[in-house]
Amino acid sequence: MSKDVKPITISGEIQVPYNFAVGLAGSRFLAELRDNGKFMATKCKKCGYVMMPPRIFCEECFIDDVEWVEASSKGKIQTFAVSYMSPEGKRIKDPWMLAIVKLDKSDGGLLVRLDEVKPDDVKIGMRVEAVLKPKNQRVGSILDIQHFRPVKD
Amino acid sequence: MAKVSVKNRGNALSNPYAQMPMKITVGDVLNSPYISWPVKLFDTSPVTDGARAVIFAAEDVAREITDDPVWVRGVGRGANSCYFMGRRLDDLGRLDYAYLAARQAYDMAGIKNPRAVIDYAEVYDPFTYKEMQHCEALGLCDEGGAGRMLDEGTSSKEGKLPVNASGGLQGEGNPIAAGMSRLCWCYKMIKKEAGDCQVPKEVNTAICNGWGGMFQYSAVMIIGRD
Repeated sequence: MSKDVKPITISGEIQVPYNFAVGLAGSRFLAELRDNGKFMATKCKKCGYVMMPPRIFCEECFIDDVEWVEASSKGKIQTFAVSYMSPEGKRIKDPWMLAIVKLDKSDGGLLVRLDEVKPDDVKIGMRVEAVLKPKNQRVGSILDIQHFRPVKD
Repeated sequence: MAKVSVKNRGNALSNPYAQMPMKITVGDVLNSPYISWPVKLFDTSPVTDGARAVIFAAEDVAREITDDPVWVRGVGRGANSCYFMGRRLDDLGRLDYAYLAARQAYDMAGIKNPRAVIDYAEVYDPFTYKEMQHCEALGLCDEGGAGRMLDEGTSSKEGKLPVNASGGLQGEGNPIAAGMSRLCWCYKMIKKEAGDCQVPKEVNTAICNGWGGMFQYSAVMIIGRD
Protein backbone atom coordinates (compact mmCIF):
# COMPACT_ATOMS: atom_id res chain seq x y z
CA MET A 1 0.00 0.00 0.00
CA SER A 2 1.30 3.45 -0.81
CA LYS A 3 2.00 5.55 2.23
CA ASP A 4 1.09 8.69 0.31
CA VAL A 5 -2.70 8.23 0.31
CA LYS A 6 -4.27 11.46 1.50
CA PRO A 7 -6.98 10.98 4.13
CA ILE A 8 -10.46 11.23 2.68
CA THR A 9 -13.25 12.94 4.55
CA ILE A 10 -16.92 12.99 3.65
CA SER A 11 -18.92 16.08 4.63
CA GLY A 12 -22.61 16.19 5.19
CA GLU A 13 -25.35 17.46 7.42
CA ILE A 14 -27.47 15.40 9.74
CA GLN A 15 -31.12 16.34 10.03
CA VAL A 16 -32.49 16.20 13.53
CA PRO A 17 -36.31 16.29 13.41
CA TYR A 18 -37.85 16.83 16.82
CA ASN A 19 -41.04 17.49 18.76
CA PHE A 20 -40.57 19.80 21.68
CA ALA A 21 -43.24 19.85 24.37
CA VAL A 22 -43.24 23.33 25.88
CA GLY A 23 -44.89 22.07 29.05
CA LEU A 24 -47.74 23.32 31.21
CA ALA A 25 -46.46 26.84 31.77
CA GLY A 26 -45.12 27.20 28.25
CA SER A 27 -48.40 26.08 26.73
CA ARG A 28 -50.43 28.65 28.63
CA PHE A 29 -47.85 31.36 27.89
CA LEU A 30 -47.96 30.69 24.14
CA ALA A 31 -51.75 30.25 24.06
CA GLU A 32 -52.28 33.64 25.74
CA LEU A 33 -49.77 35.19 23.35
CA ARG A 34 -51.56 33.68 20.35
CA ASP A 35 -55.15 34.30 21.38
CA ASN A 36 -54.95 37.50 23.42
CA GLY A 37 -51.58 39.06 22.64
CA LYS A 38 -50.81 38.95 26.37
CA PHE A 39 -47.56 38.18 28.19
CA MET A 40 -48.45 35.91 31.11
CA ALA A 41 -46.08 35.23 34.00
CA THR A 42 -46.23 33.05 37.10
CA LYS A 43 -45.77 34.37 40.60
CA CYS A 44 -44.37 32.19 43.38
CA LYS A 45 -46.75 32.33 46.31
CA LYS A 46 -43.90 31.99 48.79
CA CYS A 47 -41.23 34.47 47.65
CA GLY A 48 -43.31 36.61 45.33
CA TYR A 49 -40.88 36.35 42.43
CA VAL A 50 -42.70 36.83 39.12
CA MET A 51 -41.22 34.44 36.58
CA MET A 52 -40.95 35.48 32.97
CA PRO A 53 -40.91 33.21 31.05
CA PRO A 54 -43.44 31.55 33.35
CA ARG A 55 -42.65 28.28 35.07
CA ILE A 56 -44.75 26.00 37.23
CA PHE A 57 -41.86 25.61 39.66
CA CYS A 58 -39.99 28.20 41.72
CA GLU A 59 -36.27 27.38 41.70
CA GLU A 60 -35.57 29.38 44.84
CA CYS A 61 -38.32 27.92 47.02
CA PHE A 62 -38.48 24.47 45.44
CA ILE A 63 -42.27 24.61 45.35
CA ASP A 64 -44.83 24.52 42.59
CA ASP A 65 -47.35 26.84 44.22
CA VAL A 66 -47.66 29.63 41.70
CA GLU A 67 -50.39 31.93 40.41
CA TRP A 68 -50.72 33.37 36.93
CA VAL A 69 -50.33 37.13 36.54
CA GLU A 70 -50.18 39.38 33.51
CA ALA A 71 -46.91 41.15 32.70
CA SER A 72 -46.55 44.13 30.42
CA SER A 73 -45.57 43.94 26.75
CA LYS A 74 -43.04 46.70 27.47
CA GLY A 75 -39.83 46.49 29.39
CA LYS A 76 -36.17 47.35 29.49
CA ILE A 77 -33.10 45.73 27.96
CA GLN A 78 -30.95 43.90 30.53
CA THR A 79 -28.37 42.79 28.03
CA PHE A 80 -28.04 42.27 24.31
CA ALA A 81 -25.88 40.80 21.59
CA VAL A 82 -25.21 41.84 18.02
CA SER A 83 -24.47 38.71 16.07
CA TYR A 84 -22.59 38.47 12.82
CA MET A 85 -23.29 34.75 12.57
CA SER A 86 -26.64 33.47 11.29
CA PRO A 87 -28.57 30.88 13.32
CA GLU A 88 -27.22 28.35 10.81
CA GLY A 89 -23.67 29.33 11.72
CA LYS A 90 -22.86 31.24 8.56
CA ARG A 91 -21.14 34.59 8.59
CA ILE A 92 -23.50 37.44 7.66
CA LYS A 93 -22.80 41.05 6.76
CA ASP A 94 -25.84 42.66 8.41
CA PRO A 95 -25.99 41.55 12.01
CA TRP A 96 -29.10 40.49 13.85
CA MET A 97 -29.72 41.36 17.46
CA LEU A 98 -30.98 39.51 20.49
CA ALA A 99 -31.81 41.00 23.84
CA ILE A 100 -32.94 39.87 27.25
CA VAL A 101 -35.81 42.15 28.15
CA LYS A 102 -37.18 42.52 31.66
CA LEU A 103 -40.87 43.09 31.06
CA ASP A 104 -42.61 45.50 33.40
CA LYS A 105 -44.55 43.75 36.18
CA SER A 106 -42.25 40.72 36.05
CA ASP A 107 -38.87 39.81 37.50
CA GLY A 108 -37.38 37.54 34.88
CA GLY A 109 -36.14 38.28 31.39
CA LEU A 110 -37.41 37.25 27.98
CA LEU A 111 -35.00 36.45 25.16
CA VAL A 112 -36.21 38.31 22.07
CA ARG A 113 -35.04 39.70 18.76
CA LEU A 114 -34.47 43.43 18.47
CA ASP A 115 -35.33 45.37 15.36
CA GLU A 116 -36.19 48.88 14.15
CA VAL A 117 -33.02 50.09 15.83
CA LYS A 118 -29.37 50.37 14.77
CA PRO A 119 -26.84 48.26 16.71
CA ASP A 120 -24.91 51.37 17.75
CA ASP A 121 -28.04 52.86 19.31
CA VAL A 122 -28.91 49.90 21.53
CA LYS A 123 -28.20 50.49 25.21
CA ILE A 124 -28.62 48.45 28.35
CA GLY A 125 -31.61 49.88 30.18
CA MET A 126 -33.29 51.03 26.96
CA ARG A 127 -37.08 50.85 27.05
CA VAL A 128 -38.54 48.54 24.42
CA GLU A 129 -41.96 47.23 23.41
CA ALA A 130 -43.21 44.06 21.75
CA VAL A 131 -44.25 43.89 18.10
CA LEU A 132 -46.45 40.82 17.61
CA LYS A 133 -47.50 39.23 14.36
CA PRO A 134 -51.08 40.06 13.37
CA LYS A 135 -53.50 37.79 15.24
CA ASN A 136 -54.42 35.73 12.19
CA GLN A 137 -50.75 34.84 11.71
CA ARG A 138 -50.03 33.83 15.28
CA VAL A 139 -49.80 30.10 15.82
CA GLY A 140 -48.71 29.66 19.43
CA SER A 141 -44.98 29.91 18.82
CA ILE A 142 -42.41 32.20 20.40
CA LEU A 143 -42.03 33.56 16.88
CA ASP A 144 -45.49 35.09 17.26
CA ILE A 145 -43.33 37.82 18.75
CA GLN A 146 -41.77 39.42 15.69
CA HIS A 147 -39.32 41.52 17.65
CA PHE A 148 -38.98 44.25 20.23
CA ARG A 149 -38.31 47.85 19.28
CA PRO A 150 -37.45 51.02 21.17
CA VAL A 151 -40.41 52.79 22.71
CA LYS A 152 -40.77 56.43 23.49
CA ASP A 153 -42.36 56.36 26.93
CA MET B 1 -9.99 41.54 26.42
CA ALA B 2 -7.55 41.80 23.53
CA LYS B 3 -4.60 41.64 25.94
CA VAL B 4 -5.77 38.21 27.15
CA SER B 5 -5.72 36.97 23.56
CA VAL B 6 -2.24 38.38 22.91
CA LYS B 7 -0.88 36.93 26.19
CA ASN B 8 -2.39 33.49 25.84
CA ARG B 9 -1.88 32.88 22.14
CA GLY B 10 1.66 34.12 22.62
CA ASN B 11 2.15 31.70 25.53
CA ALA B 12 0.82 28.94 23.29
CA LEU B 13 3.84 29.34 20.99
CA SER B 14 5.69 27.29 23.64
CA ASN B 15 2.94 24.67 23.90
CA PRO B 16 3.45 21.62 21.64
CA TYR B 17 -0.25 20.72 22.00
CA ALA B 18 -1.54 24.16 21.05
CA GLN B 19 -3.96 24.59 18.17
CA MET B 20 -3.76 28.39 17.97
CA PRO B 21 -0.27 29.55 18.83
CA MET B 22 -0.11 33.10 17.47
CA LYS B 23 2.23 36.04 17.68
CA ILE B 24 -0.30 38.87 17.52
CA THR B 25 -0.85 42.41 18.76
CA VAL B 26 -3.77 44.11 20.44
CA GLY B 27 -4.39 45.80 17.10
CA ASP B 28 -4.66 42.41 15.38
CA VAL B 29 -7.31 41.34 17.86
CA LEU B 30 -9.26 44.58 17.60
CA ASN B 31 -9.16 44.43 13.80
CA SER B 32 -10.51 40.88 13.65
CA PRO B 33 -14.15 40.55 12.59
CA TYR B 34 -16.99 40.46 15.11
CA ILE B 35 -18.54 37.12 15.96
CA SER B 36 -21.16 38.67 18.22
CA TRP B 37 -20.53 42.15 19.59
CA PRO B 38 -18.46 42.74 21.59
CA VAL B 39 -16.71 39.43 21.00
CA LYS B 40 -14.38 39.22 18.00
CA LEU B 41 -12.80 36.31 16.17
CA PHE B 42 -9.54 36.59 18.11
CA ASP B 43 -11.42 36.76 21.40
CA THR B 44 -12.78 33.30 20.64
CA SER B 45 -11.15 29.92 21.09
CA PRO B 46 -11.37 27.48 18.18
CA VAL B 47 -13.38 24.27 17.82
CA THR B 48 -11.02 21.53 18.90
CA ASP B 49 -10.67 17.79 19.35
CA GLY B 50 -8.53 16.75 22.25
CA ALA B 51 -8.20 14.54 25.28
CA ARG B 52 -6.43 14.53 28.63
CA ALA B 53 -6.00 11.81 31.24
CA VAL B 54 -5.24 12.16 34.92
CA ILE B 55 -4.52 9.37 37.40
CA PHE B 56 -5.45 9.92 41.02
CA ALA B 57 -4.10 7.80 43.84
CA ALA B 58 -5.17 7.33 47.44
CA GLU B 59 -2.96 8.90 50.11
CA ASP B 60 -1.13 5.74 51.12
CA VAL B 61 -0.62 4.63 47.54
CA ALA B 62 0.64 8.07 46.51
CA ARG B 63 3.37 8.03 49.16
CA GLU B 64 4.47 4.61 47.99
CA ILE B 65 4.88 5.51 44.37
CA THR B 66 6.50 8.94 44.69
CA ASP B 67 8.51 11.07 47.11
CA ASP B 68 6.93 14.21 45.71
CA PRO B 69 3.19 13.76 45.60
CA VAL B 70 0.99 16.56 44.37
CA TRP B 71 -2.24 16.60 46.37
CA VAL B 72 -5.75 17.67 45.60
CA ARG B 73 -6.08 20.35 48.28
CA GLY B 74 -9.52 21.68 47.51
CA VAL B 75 -12.46 21.15 45.20
CA GLY B 76 -15.51 23.29 44.63
CA ARG B 77 -18.44 23.37 42.30
CA GLY B 78 -21.18 25.90 41.71
CA ALA B 79 -24.13 26.18 39.41
CA ASN B 80 -26.79 28.73 38.60
CA SER B 81 -30.12 28.17 36.89
CA CYS B 82 -29.99 26.52 33.49
CA TYR B 83 -32.72 28.95 32.52
CA PHE B 84 -30.56 31.92 31.64
CA MET B 85 -33.62 34.10 31.43
CA GLY B 86 -34.59 33.09 34.92
CA ARG B 87 -31.33 33.89 36.69
CA ARG B 88 -31.95 36.07 39.68
CA LEU B 89 -28.89 38.21 39.42
CA ASP B 90 -28.44 41.90 39.74
CA ASP B 91 -25.35 41.62 37.59
CA LEU B 92 -25.50 39.08 34.77
CA GLY B 93 -21.77 39.56 34.32
CA ARG B 94 -20.85 38.44 37.84
CA LEU B 95 -20.31 34.70 38.02
CA ASP B 96 -21.90 34.05 41.42
CA TYR B 97 -21.63 30.30 40.85
CA ALA B 98 -17.87 30.59 40.21
CA TYR B 99 -17.31 32.65 43.36
CA LEU B 100 -19.19 29.91 45.22
CA ALA B 101 -17.09 27.14 43.69
CA ALA B 102 -13.87 29.01 44.52
CA ARG B 103 -14.91 29.57 48.13
CA GLN B 104 -15.69 25.86 48.55
CA ALA B 105 -12.27 24.95 47.19
CA TYR B 106 -10.44 27.50 49.33
CA ASP B 107 -12.36 26.42 52.45
CA MET B 108 -11.49 22.78 51.81
CA ALA B 109 -7.83 23.71 51.25
CA GLY B 110 -7.77 25.89 54.35
CA ILE B 111 -6.65 28.89 52.31
CA LYS B 112 -7.77 32.21 53.71
CA ASN B 113 -5.66 34.53 51.57
CA PRO B 114 -5.55 33.14 48.03
CA ARG B 115 -3.14 35.72 46.66
CA ALA B 116 -0.59 34.86 49.37
CA VAL B 117 -0.75 31.12 48.68
CA ILE B 118 -1.62 30.53 45.03
CA ASP B 119 1.52 30.53 42.88
CA TYR B 120 -0.04 29.77 39.54
CA ALA B 121 -3.44 29.58 37.83
CA GLU B 122 -4.98 28.04 34.76
CA VAL B 123 -8.46 29.43 34.17
CA TYR B 124 -11.06 28.62 31.57
CA ASP B 125 -10.85 31.18 28.74
CA PRO B 126 -12.94 30.11 25.73
CA PHE B 127 -13.54 33.83 25.31
CA THR B 128 -11.04 36.41 26.46
CA TYR B 129 -13.38 38.04 28.95
CA LYS B 130 -13.85 34.66 30.67
CA GLU B 131 -10.23 34.73 31.86
CA MET B 132 -10.99 38.08 33.47
CA GLN B 133 -14.25 36.94 35.04
CA HIS B 134 -12.65 33.75 36.35
CA CYS B 135 -9.60 35.53 37.81
CA GLU B 136 -11.98 37.74 39.76
CA ALA B 137 -14.23 34.88 40.84
CA LEU B 138 -11.20 32.86 42.01
CA GLY B 139 -10.02 35.84 44.07
CA LEU B 140 -6.77 36.15 42.13
CA CYS B 141 -7.45 39.87 41.92
CA ASP B 142 -10.03 42.30 43.30
CA GLU B 143 -13.50 42.26 41.83
CA GLY B 144 -13.22 44.58 38.84
CA GLY B 145 -9.41 44.25 38.93
CA ALA B 146 -8.83 41.75 36.15
CA GLY B 147 -7.90 44.45 33.66
CA ARG B 148 -5.28 45.83 36.04
CA MET B 149 -3.94 42.31 36.53
CA LEU B 150 -3.16 42.23 32.81
CA ASP B 151 -1.92 45.81 32.54
CA GLU B 152 0.46 45.36 35.48
CA GLY B 153 1.84 42.12 34.04
CA THR B 154 0.79 40.15 37.12
CA SER B 155 -0.72 37.35 35.03
CA SER B 156 2.05 37.16 32.43
CA LYS B 157 4.40 34.19 32.33
CA GLU B 158 7.05 36.08 34.33
CA GLY B 159 4.54 37.80 36.57
CA LYS B 160 3.73 37.50 40.25
CA LEU B 161 0.73 35.25 39.62
CA PRO B 162 0.98 33.79 36.10
CA VAL B 163 -2.28 32.78 34.47
CA ASN B 164 -2.52 30.39 31.52
CA ALA B 165 1.16 30.13 30.65
CA SER B 166 0.05 27.11 28.60
CA GLY B 167 -1.97 29.39 26.37
CA GLY B 168 -5.31 28.51 27.95
CA LEU B 169 -8.19 27.77 25.62
CA GLN B 170 -7.36 30.80 23.50
CA GLY B 171 -4.09 29.19 22.51
CA GLU B 172 -4.49 25.50 23.18
CA GLY B 173 -8.04 25.03 21.99
CA ASN B 174 -11.48 24.22 23.32
CA PRO B 175 -12.16 20.48 23.45
CA ILE B 176 -14.33 18.97 26.19
CA ALA B 177 -11.00 18.10 27.83
CA ALA B 178 -10.14 21.79 28.19
CA GLY B 179 -10.94 21.82 31.90
CA MET B 180 -8.83 18.72 32.48
CA SER B 181 -6.04 20.32 30.49
CA ARG B 182 -5.97 23.24 32.92
CA LEU B 183 -5.45 20.77 35.74
CA CYS B 184 -2.72 18.97 33.81
CA TRP B 185 -0.82 22.21 33.19
CA CYS B 186 -1.06 23.14 36.88
CA TYR B 187 0.50 19.79 37.72
CA LYS B 188 3.23 20.25 35.10
CA MET B 189 4.08 23.68 36.48
CA ILE B 190 4.38 22.32 40.02
CA LYS B 191 6.59 19.44 38.86
CA LYS B 192 8.65 21.65 36.52
CA GLU B 193 7.56 19.45 33.60
CA ALA B 194 5.96 22.20 31.53
CA GLY B 195 8.77 22.40 29.00
CA ASP B 196 9.01 25.77 27.28
CA CYS B 197 5.79 26.86 28.98
CA GLN B 198 7.44 26.59 32.42
CA VAL B 199 7.13 29.77 34.45
CA PRO B 200 10.31 31.07 36.12
CA LYS B 201 8.87 31.22 39.66
CA GLU B 202 8.51 28.31 42.09
CA VAL B 203 5.06 26.76 41.95
CA ASN B 204 3.90 24.80 44.98
CA THR B 205 0.17 25.54 44.93
CA ALA B 206 -1.90 26.03 41.81
CA ILE B 207 -5.57 26.57 41.05
CA CYS B 208 -7.60 25.73 37.98
CA ASN B 209 -11.21 26.03 36.93
CA GLY B 210 -13.61 24.86 34.28
CA TRP B 211 -16.84 26.36 32.95
CA GLY B 212 -19.65 24.58 31.25
CA GLY B 213 -23.11 23.14 31.50
CA MET B 214 -25.54 25.68 30.12
CA PHE B 215 -22.91 28.37 30.73
CA GLN B 216 -23.85 28.30 34.40
CA TYR B 217 -21.50 25.81 35.95
CA SER B 218 -17.99 26.10 37.29
CA ALA B 219 -15.69 23.66 39.01
CA VAL B 220 -12.52 24.70 40.80
CA MET B 221 -9.61 22.56 41.93
CA ILE B 222 -6.58 23.50 44.01
CA ILE B 223 -3.54 21.21 43.92
CA GLY B 224 -0.20 21.45 45.65
CA ARG B 225 2.67 19.93 47.50
CA ASP B 226 2.64 19.16 51.20
